[in-house]
Formats: sequence, C-alpha cells, structure tokens
Amino acid sequence: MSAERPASKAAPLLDLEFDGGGLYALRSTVAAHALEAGLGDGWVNDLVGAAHELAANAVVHGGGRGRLRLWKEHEALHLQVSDSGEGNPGEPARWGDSEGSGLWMVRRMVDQMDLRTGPYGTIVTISLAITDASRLRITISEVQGWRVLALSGDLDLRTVPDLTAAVSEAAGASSRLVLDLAEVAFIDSSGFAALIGVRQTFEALPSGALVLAAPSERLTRRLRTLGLYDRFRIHLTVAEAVSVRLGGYPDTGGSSW
Amino acid sequence: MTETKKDRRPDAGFQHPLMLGSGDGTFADLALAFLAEGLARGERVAAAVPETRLGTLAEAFGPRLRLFDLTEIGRNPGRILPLVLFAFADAAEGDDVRILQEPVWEGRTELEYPACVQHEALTNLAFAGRRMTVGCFYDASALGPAVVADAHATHQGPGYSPEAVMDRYDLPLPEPERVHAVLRFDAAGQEGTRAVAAQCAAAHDLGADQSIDVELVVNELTANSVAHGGGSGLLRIWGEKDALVCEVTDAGRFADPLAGRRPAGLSVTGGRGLLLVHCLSDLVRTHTTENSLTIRAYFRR
Repeated sequence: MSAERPASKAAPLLDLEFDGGGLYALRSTVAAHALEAGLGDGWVNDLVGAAHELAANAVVHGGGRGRLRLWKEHEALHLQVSDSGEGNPGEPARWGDSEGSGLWMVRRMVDQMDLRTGPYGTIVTISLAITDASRLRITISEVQGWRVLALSGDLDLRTVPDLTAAVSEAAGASSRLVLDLAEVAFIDSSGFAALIGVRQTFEALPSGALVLAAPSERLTRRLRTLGLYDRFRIHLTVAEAVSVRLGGYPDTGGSSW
Repeated sequence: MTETKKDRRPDAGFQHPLMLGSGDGTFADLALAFLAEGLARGERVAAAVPETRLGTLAEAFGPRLRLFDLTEIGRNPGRILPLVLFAFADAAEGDDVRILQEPVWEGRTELEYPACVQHEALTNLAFAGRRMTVGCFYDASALGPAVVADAHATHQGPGYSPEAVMDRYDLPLPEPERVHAVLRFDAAGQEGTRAVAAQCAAAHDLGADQSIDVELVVNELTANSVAHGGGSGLLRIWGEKDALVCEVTDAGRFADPLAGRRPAGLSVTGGRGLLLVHCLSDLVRTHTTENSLTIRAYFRR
C-alpha cells in the first residue's frame, strides 16, 4: 500500500472501509458529515450521489471493497475513494478508465475531479466548494408601505436567529410586515415558534400587522395540524397580502392588482 | 348562557366511564344512549370511533354529532388527545363536553396496542379536574379478557390503576433484524441526522411528502435529545415489512408524561416538537429505563 497517495495533511472527517453491503450506510454517513462540515443542503445530494458511484465502482471493478476518506481543506470538501487494486486480473482496464462506469455523472456533479490509476489500484478525489451562504436566504423589499421579507431555504433551529434579526430590523422600519414563505423548504418546531414570536412583535406595534404569504400546501397543512392556521392572516400571494386593509379585509376596490 | 340550561351535569370533575359491550348490537345500545343523553342535556357531543361505526352514528344523530374517524386520525393513538379530545373540548366555549371513544378495536395490532393503553391512561391525567365526559366503548367479545382487564385499569371504577398499567406496558421494543443506518449525534452532529433520514426515506421508496415528514420527525427527536436528553443520542433507522422505523435513544426521561399530546397553541417556548412527532407518524412507541428513553416513530409505506 506504499503507493497509496496520502489523502491530505488535514485531519479526515471520515475514513472508512466498505464493501458491497455497506453502500447504504456509506451514503447516510457521507451525507451526515458533509452537512455537518457546512456543505450547502443542495450540494449534499450531489456529493452523496458521487460517493455512491465511486464506491460502487470500487466494489464492482476494484476487488469488491475500497476505502473512503472525507476531509475539509481550503474552503472545500474533498472526498477520496480508493480501491485495493485487486480487480479482475484478466481485465486490463481499471474501472477508472471506462466511460461506462458512471464517472461522467460524477464529473458533472462536482467542481473538481482527480483520477489516478496504476498498479496500486485507482484513486479518485473529488472536491466541492463550501459556500458560506446561510441555509436561509432573506430578501428584503418594500411594497406599498409594507416591509416584505422573502424567505428561501430552511427555517430551523440554526436559521431562526437570522429571521429574528431581520424581523427586529423590519419592526424599526415599518409596522406592517409580510413574510413571503413561498420558497421555504423546511420548517421545524423552532421555526413555528419563531413565526408566533414575529406575530407577537408586530401585534405589539401601534397599528402593527403581520401577514404570511404564499405558504406551500404542505406548510398550510402543518399550520392547521398545529392549530396555528387561524391565528395568522394568510394570503396566497404577496400582492394580495399588501392589499389587505388593516381591518382584515382585502382591498379590492380600485386596486391596480 | 350555559347557566340557564336544564339538567346540567351536577358534578364538576372529569368522567371517564367504561362501557363494556359484547358484539355490535351492544354498541348501538350503549353508545347511542350515552350520546343521546348528552344531546338531551345540551352538551357538545362528539364520537371518535373506527370507520365501521361512522354510518350508524351519522344515521342516528345527523349533524348534531361531530364525528372523528379513528381509523385515520387515531391510527397513531398518540395523536387522539391533541387532535381529537383536546381539539374538540377546547373549542367548546364553556359548554359541557361529551365524547364517545372507541380507541381499541379488533384490527389493532400487537405493536399498536400498548400505545392505545398509554393513551387511555394519560386521558385521565390530561383532563383531571376538568368538567367533561369521555365514555369509552370496548367490545369484550371481540377483544378478549386481557384487554378488558386493561380497560378496567384505565377507566374509573373497580380496578382503576392507570399508572400501574402504563408501567406494565412500558415494554422493551422488539430488536430489528437489520438496521440500515446508525448515527451517534450531539449538538454539532444533530443537523446531519436530517440528511440521514432523507436518504433512508428515499431508499425505502417513501414519497416526497412522507420523506419530509420523516426528516422533520427525526429532526425533532434528535433536537429533543440535544436539548433535554443529555445533549446527545443514538439514531437508528430501518425498514420493516410495511413501515420505515426511526428510533432515537438518549439519556432523557419524560418530565411531563403528556409531552407531545397537548395542543401547543401560541406558546413561543417549545411544546411543539413531540407534538409534530405524534401528528406526522403513523405510530409512536416509547420505552423508558432507569437511565434511558427510546422513542420509535413508524411510517407506513
């Protein structure tokens, strides 16, 4: 194994050996560590898919087993899969050489891919940049005197502070707030608690109002299950939300919407 | 205005009587009489029964009776309290409340039954001192003597001992043949449990909606371990014949036996995590030992 290239000087987040029976657990484990390392939600599936392809190749063409290492270096996450080099002796082409091996898919998924193959076996290293973006993006705008916060991503334990900060800023600027929930993908119990907190903040303001706009069907069901649906003013679109009169009825007369 | 009603129930406390029948004919006799009495008194009346009973009751009482299909909403016995009993009672605006309940029927599985007993026992705690009646029908000929004995223990009358019967059914859970994912987590690793849950749900062919349910339930269980269960825990996920099972074990205990079974209302501090777990899972089973708490959530495929 002396030919095996050292993965990196960085301490590995994950270093495990696998065989064909362990691919399922491998996917789960890679996903968990990648998320923990700060890889964005959307990229985790790509990394997991790539890891699966590489590991499956090692199993099928590389002697039935292999080794997977994951580490973080230079604002990127690197994943390396190596096999034992004990693949079919009668088959000169190693799995890394074949374009039918699913490697084209891996190439498309990741930012960088490095493949070395030789008598020691095959080593593939892939890299994905870690973007620093919060998993909740908040876009602030002003529509007809309403402050509108458009949320995109996950509203959970980790991102609730971002919402709280944006809401206190908004409360200083306007007494009327729309939370546009159209792009919220995931909301947990702390997220629901935060929405109630926002409601309380704005109800305490003189002539304050909070409207939730464009919740998905799923989110609407959740709000109903939790007995919260009737506690909020909810509208299907932001346009409809900002045309609400403070008495609570949509302002349809003379509206340009 | 409730003060002017005639024949208002004189006693103030919670009534949880057992109506023991034998065969469908006795259901008609006992249940209809129980409900008719409530309607005659001007009480708000509901029935939470398996699907097969709905027709009889709708025919007898029409729109005066609010019906809940327990085959659906009570599939997980843990959500009968928040989504049926509390929901109906809390909306009564001070009127007297009477609910007919049949949480145990012949088709209940061995896996579901302990959760039914737990629900019945906790119903006493949930409404202690509150002016309302929850009458429970059990078909003795279909359910057998052991179930009848348990029903006596969870309902007012001779043999009443809800805490003892809850302890008796706090059983070790059957060990799975093969576990697909195991993950030890702490505060830093808790976030990763969501991705594991999503992967497992996809691998077991759960649909997109149900996968998000699984992800949320696992998120709430593991967040609970971090906040209340000693800061860390063990997540295990596997498939069974017709279900995906997610299990979290930690060093916690139920400080509040009704945790997750009460509506959270507008509280901004917690109380909604385990409620979501109960509402989104098809069955929730728990087991406590001296120094550990295990919660299993089942998702039907």
